[in-house]
Amino acid sequence: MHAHLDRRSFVKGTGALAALAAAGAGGASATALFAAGAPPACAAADSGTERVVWNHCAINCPGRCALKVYVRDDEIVRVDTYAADTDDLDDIQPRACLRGRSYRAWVYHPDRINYPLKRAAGTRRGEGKYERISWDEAIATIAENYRSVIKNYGPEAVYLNYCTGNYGVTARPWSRLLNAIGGGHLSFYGNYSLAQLMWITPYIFGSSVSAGSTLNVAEDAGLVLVFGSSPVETRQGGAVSHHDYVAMRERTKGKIYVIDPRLNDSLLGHSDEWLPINPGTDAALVAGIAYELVNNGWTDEEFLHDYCVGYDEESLPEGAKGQGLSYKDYLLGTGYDKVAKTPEWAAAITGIAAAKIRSLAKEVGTTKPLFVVQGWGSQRRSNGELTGWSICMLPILTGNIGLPGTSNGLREGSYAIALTGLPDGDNSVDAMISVFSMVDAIDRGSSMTEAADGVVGVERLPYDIKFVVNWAGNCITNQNSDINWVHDVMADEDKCQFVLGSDILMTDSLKYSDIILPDLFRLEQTSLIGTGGDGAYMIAGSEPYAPKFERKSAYDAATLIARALGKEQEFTEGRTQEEWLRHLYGLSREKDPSLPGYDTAMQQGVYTRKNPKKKTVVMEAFRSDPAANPLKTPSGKIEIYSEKLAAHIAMHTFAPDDKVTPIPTYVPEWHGVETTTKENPLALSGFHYRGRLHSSWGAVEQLKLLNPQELWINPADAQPRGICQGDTVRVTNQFGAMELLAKVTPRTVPGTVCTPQGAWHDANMAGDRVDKGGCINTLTTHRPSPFAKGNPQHTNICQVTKV
Amino acid sequence: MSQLAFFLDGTRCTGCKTCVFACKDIKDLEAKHAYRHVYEYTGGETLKDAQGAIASTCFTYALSVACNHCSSPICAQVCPTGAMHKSESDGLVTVDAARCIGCGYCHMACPYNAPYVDRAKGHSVKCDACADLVRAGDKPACVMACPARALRFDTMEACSARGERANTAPLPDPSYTEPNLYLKPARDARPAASSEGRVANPLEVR
Amino acid sequence: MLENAISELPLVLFTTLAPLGAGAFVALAVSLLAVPLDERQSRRLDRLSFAPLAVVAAGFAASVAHLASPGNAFHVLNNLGASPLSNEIAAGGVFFVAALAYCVLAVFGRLKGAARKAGAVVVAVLALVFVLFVGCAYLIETIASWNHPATPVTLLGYALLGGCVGGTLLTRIALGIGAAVPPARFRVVMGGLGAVGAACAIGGLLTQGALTNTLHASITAGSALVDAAVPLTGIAVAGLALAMATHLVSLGVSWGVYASAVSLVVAAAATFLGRMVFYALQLNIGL
Repeated sequence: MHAHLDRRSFVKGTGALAALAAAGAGGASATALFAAGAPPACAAADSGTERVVWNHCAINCPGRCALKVYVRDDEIVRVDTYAADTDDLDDIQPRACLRGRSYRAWVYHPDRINYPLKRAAGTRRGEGKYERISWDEAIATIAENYRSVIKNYGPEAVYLNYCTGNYGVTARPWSRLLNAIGGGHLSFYGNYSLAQLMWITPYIFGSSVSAGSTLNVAEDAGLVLVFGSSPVETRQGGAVSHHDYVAMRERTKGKIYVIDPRLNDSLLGHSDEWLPINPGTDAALVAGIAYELVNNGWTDEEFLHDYCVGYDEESLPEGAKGQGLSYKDYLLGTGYDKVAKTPEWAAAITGIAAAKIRSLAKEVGTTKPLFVVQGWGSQRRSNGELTGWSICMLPILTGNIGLPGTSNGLREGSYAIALTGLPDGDNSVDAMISVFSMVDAIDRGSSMTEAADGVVGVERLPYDIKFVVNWAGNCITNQNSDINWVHDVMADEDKCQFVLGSDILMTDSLKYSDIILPDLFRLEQTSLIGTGGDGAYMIAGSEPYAPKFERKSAYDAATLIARALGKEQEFTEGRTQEEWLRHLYGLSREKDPSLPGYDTAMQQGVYTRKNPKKKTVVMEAFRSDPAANPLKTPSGKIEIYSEKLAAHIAMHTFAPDDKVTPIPTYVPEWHGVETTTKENPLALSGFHYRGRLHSSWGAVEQLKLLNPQELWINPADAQPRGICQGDTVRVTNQFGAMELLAKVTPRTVPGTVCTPQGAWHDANMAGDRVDKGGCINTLTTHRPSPFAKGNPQHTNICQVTKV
Repeated sequence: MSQLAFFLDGTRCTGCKTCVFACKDIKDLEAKHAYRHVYEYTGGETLKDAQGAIASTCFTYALSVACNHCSSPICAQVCPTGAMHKSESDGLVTVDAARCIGCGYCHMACPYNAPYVDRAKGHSVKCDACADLVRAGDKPACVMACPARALRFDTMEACSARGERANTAPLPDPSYTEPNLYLKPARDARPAASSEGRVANPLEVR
Repeated sequence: MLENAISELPLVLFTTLAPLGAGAFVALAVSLLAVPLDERQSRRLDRLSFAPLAVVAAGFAASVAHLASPGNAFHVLNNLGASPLSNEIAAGGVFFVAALAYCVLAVFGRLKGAARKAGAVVVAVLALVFVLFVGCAYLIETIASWNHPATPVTLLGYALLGGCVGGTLLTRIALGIGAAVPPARFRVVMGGLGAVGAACAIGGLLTQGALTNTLHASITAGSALVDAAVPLTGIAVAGLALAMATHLVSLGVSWGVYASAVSLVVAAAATFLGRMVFYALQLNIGL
């Protein structure tokens, strides 16, 4: 904290160039190199006229809210949003959230990167010491390393890391670059948001279904179940889930249950809607409810037989018959683990009393329409694939799919404006890894196989990853798992040969770069983006000023790399970023002619469009005529038993505690409420914080102050440990230790502590490695989930002590 | 012109603090300063019984509060210089920086944690309901920022038709200052001056 | 919980020094009325009267230090009548001007006999009025832990105790170090006023604590504030009692000037701590 303040005042006092001079030539500390100068609004001067330009938020949230940027003397002096003074909740207003309204503090952050940098001689990756170099030297170094990796290994050893810090039609040129300059790169499947659910959904509903109904459909529901979701926290804008959930809650006739270990902010003021549950046990709750549905005749047998496969013996595929493999066999204890999934069985696991499960089952079984929605919290676990699938079973069993007031159990869908993006070009590399396997593929890529590691496209990876591009992402360490292990792999230069980093700010992940390129915020570039929630909108963004210092857009940086490798024409096709925008927008308008013209769009900034159907019910066509509109599953129906998954299980290897099944079952987490230990007696779960989006904005002081990094702990767990509100506590487990402040609150269930994910890792990696930033990934496992090989970042156990 | 007032729909407010940051941006406040605060008021218990069954009596809600431009503003009453004053035309309570000595009495007296002395600026500061915008026909930045459309600004008559006068904990009894904050209480809301819960986010409101 | 007190340190100093100095003028009036002084002693006492005036001035200076813009201070009487702070400053101004005029006139020999005694009594009354107004400035409806008669009563107590101790010391110095004890009238009145002061100070302080302990606000419980202030309160009360005891001793012995000096130091320190406690117990009924 003190260092930070000192740095700020130092930078303010001296300005960027002086800071550089003071830093000297050799081994300058990273902090001195990123001066941004004083925030302009403090820098006096009423001279010059004020301009207003529109732009949009571009971080990993579908909000992409409108930013009305006030510019004076080429500096941003205020960031407003798009709003009209009306009570009408149907008026689409993509109002930016608290983060969007804090852009000025971020854009002018003292750690802003202004020049190309190279890792200081004699330092290791992760130390964060850099020296300023010229663009020429940076590009030459990148090109030289790229050539050598291609020569020695090939494009399979080149990897573009997962990144979510910059979205827009032309924002992401890197895959296109790598395809243009060398024929491609090793790519990934999945993501860190919903890897498990994303993987399993095609097995349930086929590849054409990826989300549920829009939230406003729940206005017509009689009962609304929300599993592991806090819509108002995860998508905070004024025209996405935050607004849509508030509007739905106000208008629905249905009773709402939010099933979460934490009384999340979507329940503020509405605590009677909270159904507290032990984390990681949603599938057990579903099984307990389903058992009651079956025994009381509350299942929709007609729907289960006409629209689904695998519910009971009769509806199993031929090859699976006669072996007790149906979902009903699982529930009644006549198949699989041979345990009846009674409410008592579920109560012992979930912490929800059997009587409550019975009454809930009655509500689920007898209330129509039933609207079931899950967030991605339930599935970001070691049992996430089967948990996500299980949650979908409640609408499936009761036939609440494809009808007004229903959804399919997946996350809320949206009515959005779809714009054509920058084409990636052709990637000649067939191999793919799971997104969560990047560090594994650096550490031991050439031993990773399809059967054991979920490699796709080839049986075994030919090479370890040797060349990484990490742009606008903090997913090497901070947002990855098991940071201490990642550090050891990444710091070893015998493993990965070269890491190209590019970002707007020095991040923990960026400290593992060999060369760093200074990037621009999306709002510093011309841009276009389309999105939506209950209603759709598009935002056209203009530059508030020309790039400052030696910062360049990703597109311009990629162009320089392509030029150095003799592939500029292939990459640019003769277009600048703005020319691409015009070109691509033309393609978008061919598909959607009602969009305004390019110049009009740029001038008006925000374009909104109401859903002509008002509400979008998912799988409506399938429900109305399943034969004419089959799902893209092997059976064309909803699959409760998946033959395809059974085949996948047979072809892959799994650890003994990965109890994989071709139907949705409850499996205890590896590190969960059923598997706590004497050393680590508490479950530890992350959640999305209002003051950050993952790690984005995580260094902005004003947001940190009003969104302190806290560990939520129930008084029942705090008192025996002598922990009071505001105490500093240490959280430890087999992977590491972190320190943060205690929030002693009845808003989390006993036995489970929660902390907002995305705090900036702050540990002495050459010393005790205790993370003073409170980044949960110091304590998360790098073991991937069984099917998706995804990140099980809420599957943790820990001990908490007062410091 | 009539007394102006804030209205907060407690059934909509999700405690996101966007109002706070919109205010900080337009007022260009330092990181540690804010004219508006969002209080988390929480009480009750969440327990597990011997069988491990969870039972909760927990209640919790958010309340966004800035200056309430009170009809009986105690800040102005205690102010020795008259710098803290109430407009006769629209009832907004603002600080005349040219008069303020920065003694801090308004800060001590205000039961809504609104004014404080900014020593760098040399005077008391607080929410002025974006008086410049409002007098030009616009609305305060916080109101136009609210993603949940929970916060409104209008005449006292219009606001009082939609809610009760600041009658929710952790606010004090409104009779002290007659605040022009009208509330549609959340289901969880407890009455003003209740001691059933507590402000659960003290770090965020100071 | 003491952060409140530390952040209000200038006001702690002001409310320690101003009552102490003002209270001394009460004692000086008693001296003039009750102690027969010769010309030399009288002149000495007049010169010494500037000392408590300087203490009051130092208090005012401390209070100015807590202002963010002292340059606007000429506006402070704008809200006279309505703002307790304007009233306090007005009362302080009237007292200070009167006391200064009295001291100057006296030291230049322009005040004699009855006029001089009347002047001293007027200044003494203005001093008490000033201290009362200082106390009343803290009677803010929304600060429940202050809004009680104990607040001005405690301050009057500090003024009387500290003033009597200080006034006794000045009188003894004026009489001459090692001179005989002053007359019984003086000793009885000084002892009595000092005792009333000590009782008001200690009683007021404890009353405030007891009151605060019953209060509850949403952010802070009064009991938590009291718990944190208990050690400081204990020291302050003990100090006030000790100051009173040494004051009584000083009145009856020929070396009383030394005892008085000790008593003054203890009284000032205890008052300072008592004022720290006062600010530490600040509890607004709201947020």
